[in-house]
Amino acid sequence: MSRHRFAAVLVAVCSVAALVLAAGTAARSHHAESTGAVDGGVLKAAIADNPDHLDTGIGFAVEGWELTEATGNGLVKFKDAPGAGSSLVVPDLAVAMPKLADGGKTYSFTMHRGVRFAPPVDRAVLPSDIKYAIERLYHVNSPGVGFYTNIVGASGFAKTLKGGISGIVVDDKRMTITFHLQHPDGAFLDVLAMPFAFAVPKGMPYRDISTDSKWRIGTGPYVISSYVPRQKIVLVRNPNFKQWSPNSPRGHLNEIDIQIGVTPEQAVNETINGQLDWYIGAVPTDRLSELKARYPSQVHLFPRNNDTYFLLNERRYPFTKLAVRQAANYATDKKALVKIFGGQGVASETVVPPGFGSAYREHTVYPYDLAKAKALIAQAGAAGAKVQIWAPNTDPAPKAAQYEASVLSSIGLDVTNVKLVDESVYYDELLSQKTDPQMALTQFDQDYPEGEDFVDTMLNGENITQVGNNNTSNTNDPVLDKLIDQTKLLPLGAKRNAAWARIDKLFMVRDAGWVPIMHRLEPKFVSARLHGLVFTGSYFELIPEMWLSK
Amino acid sequence: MIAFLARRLFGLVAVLFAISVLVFVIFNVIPGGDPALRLAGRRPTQENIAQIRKAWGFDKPLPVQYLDMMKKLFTGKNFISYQNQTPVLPAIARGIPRTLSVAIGAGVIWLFFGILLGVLSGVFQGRWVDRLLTVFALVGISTPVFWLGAVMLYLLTFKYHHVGAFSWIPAGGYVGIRHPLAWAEHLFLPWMTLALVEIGFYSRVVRSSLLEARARDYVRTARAKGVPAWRVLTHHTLRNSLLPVITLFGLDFGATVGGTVILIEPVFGIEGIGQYAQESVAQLDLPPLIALTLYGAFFVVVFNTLVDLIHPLLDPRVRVS
Repeated sequence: MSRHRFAAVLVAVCSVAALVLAAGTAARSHHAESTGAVDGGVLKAAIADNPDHLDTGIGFAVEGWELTEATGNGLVKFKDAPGAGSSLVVPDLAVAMPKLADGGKTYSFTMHRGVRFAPPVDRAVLPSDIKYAIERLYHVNSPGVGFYTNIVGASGFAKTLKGGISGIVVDDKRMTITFHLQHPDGAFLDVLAMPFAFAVPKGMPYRDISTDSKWRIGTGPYVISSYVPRQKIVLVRNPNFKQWSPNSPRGHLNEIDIQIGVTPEQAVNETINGQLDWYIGAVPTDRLSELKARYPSQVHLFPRNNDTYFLLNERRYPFTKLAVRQAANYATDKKALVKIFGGQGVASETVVPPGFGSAYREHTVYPYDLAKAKALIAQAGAAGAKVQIWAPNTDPAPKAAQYEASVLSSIGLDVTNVKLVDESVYYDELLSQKTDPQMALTQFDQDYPEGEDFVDTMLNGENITQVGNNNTSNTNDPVLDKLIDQTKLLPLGAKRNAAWARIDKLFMVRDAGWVPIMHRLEPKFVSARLHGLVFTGSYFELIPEMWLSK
Repeated sequence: MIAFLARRLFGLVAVLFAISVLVFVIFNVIPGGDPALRLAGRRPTQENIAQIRKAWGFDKPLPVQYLDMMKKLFTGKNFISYQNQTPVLPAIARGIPRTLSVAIGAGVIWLFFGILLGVLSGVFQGRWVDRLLTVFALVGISTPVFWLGAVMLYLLTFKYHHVGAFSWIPAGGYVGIRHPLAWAEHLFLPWMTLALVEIGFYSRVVRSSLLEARARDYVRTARAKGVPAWRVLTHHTLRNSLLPVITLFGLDFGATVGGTVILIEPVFGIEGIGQYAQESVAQLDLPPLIALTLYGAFFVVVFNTLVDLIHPLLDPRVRVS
């Protein structure tokens, strides 16, 4: 080849290469411009106290789940979408949604190949790791064991801890895992999406590994590289993570540094001073108005999947009478109570929160009507009946209880007093039949975003227990129980959601065991450079969706 | 002296034992203090509660549980929080330098300024200086320390943070002493908060002691001999009037390290012993509660003993007997 010809070829090759490079860069920057998200950066975060656990088998509080959601994956997950969208279950480690068989009692999954645990485990995830994770729950006395008792063999395994759970069948070569249930349960996919069922490496010890960096690993885009209790938590990118599906984002941030022990007041001040981007906790209510006025774009009010309500104990007079329970509902102005809670809620009469999509349908069975309430009390012959209202001692619960006391007094009941109980023991007392208050202020936050979590847990008479009783009103209506049991058998979807919505309204019509007040909002204050806040009921803000502007 | 120390050591052990039993019993009789129920989570199955009781030893008789807990505490093995199952003793060890930083710094400030203002108040007895300092002292004594801390935090790190004089004050937190400037900056507000409340009290004690000492015969003799007033103050009255202050400081410092910081640390997010104690109480978490209560009692008793040992050195008329 002559020198001239060689030079011409070289120039041509270089030109083509340059064009290709330019096109690629343009494509990437176009993508960044079109989505707005910027990769990179270190997020400065803070939290008031240690998260309960960073062990997916044991953790059951949202602060821990917010972090482990970014570090682990299960067969399925709750969709990364705000609001009601996050109640959908989508495939994660599974290639697709499961095949159902045997009248809805068998769930068969095939898993992605090539997904790897982070170092130091550093190997491919297998179906037997999912099985190990669920069996490990029983070894560590996890608070999540109750969700998996429907799997064949789980109850027997719980007693002996030997032989494994026979109802989970795995084939590591074919990458398949099959679950056999004792009876159909449409919410089974929801419980599989919870962190309790995230893949963990076989051999993970049967103890809390929150502070053990050798085992505190998963398959997610991030790994918790450091956790010093009461000091700091650091998340960095998982070097083994390669995105395998659009449902499993790779994350934008390079690192998340979380300082432990920062009070909410301190967090607000540090955010304003530019020293903090994100606080894993709510804004103090007394600062909210001022922050909304001065930094409106940095304040967010996210809907939690929460019920805040007064329970009416159907085993204690006068709330044994339906008319009295109905009267309490007619007499309560929910909007007034929302104001007492600083406007941090949406007044509602429903049990199922709005974040559950079509399972939620607002109803107003008991519009505010004092005259009707008085008439019902008289009709029930309950005028002058003594009532004690319980509330936790943290503001503004006492004020809410005082308001309700004045309301009930005005319709003819004799409210003897408002009993304030320290919040540290309040819910333990409340959920015990031994203490059994007549009426009490309480709340419930989701475990998973499906109607069964609320309706079955809190309204099914079959779930009344002596301790840890979440059916706080002791509602025990055979008609409702039957409808709930039937609905639980339905597969996830519109028909099941419609059924929950019907039961929700029917509960208020037939039973009225609550005075529902509101579904809470979570006020957040973040730095001006933090974007990509996607708030879900399960995990609150999603770390892999966050990004920092430069 | 050896007999004295031996008696004090025995007393220390007796006090710590009594306190540990008291905390343990209180925790087990108060309603809602069932750790098995808490560990079982929001949807406890009866089987899970029973298994947790067995695994953690909550099904054993209370005296056995107490002895198990004390063994774990003193050996450091498996002594973990019920709340989040993290080791308790390392958390306390990490918190001690922070708490001592708060207490020592505040102690130096309140001792210095308490004595200074007390002397000024005593020297200028009856004049406007004395009256002004008396008002200041009463305000300081009457102010709740946690309220003062929260107000100072709000005003100096938020509302007036843009003002040059306050813009350097951080919004709370703690930085290790390896970075001395940042360490002092972060502790400035906690020091001031704790010291302002104590200065008032100490200045009144110093003033009262000073006036009493000034009325003594030997002071009158010294003045009659022509000793200058400043020399009478520094060589005669001040030293004798500091005796009760030293005693008080020993007791107060012990109490501060052992407990008063519980009111300050949560406000400023120091994550020392005080904040750990406050969180443990709120969560009814027995292992750190017992460890921290014993830690607090230990410091109070030790500092009491130190005060008793120092006193004869300051006043030869007092003998350790």
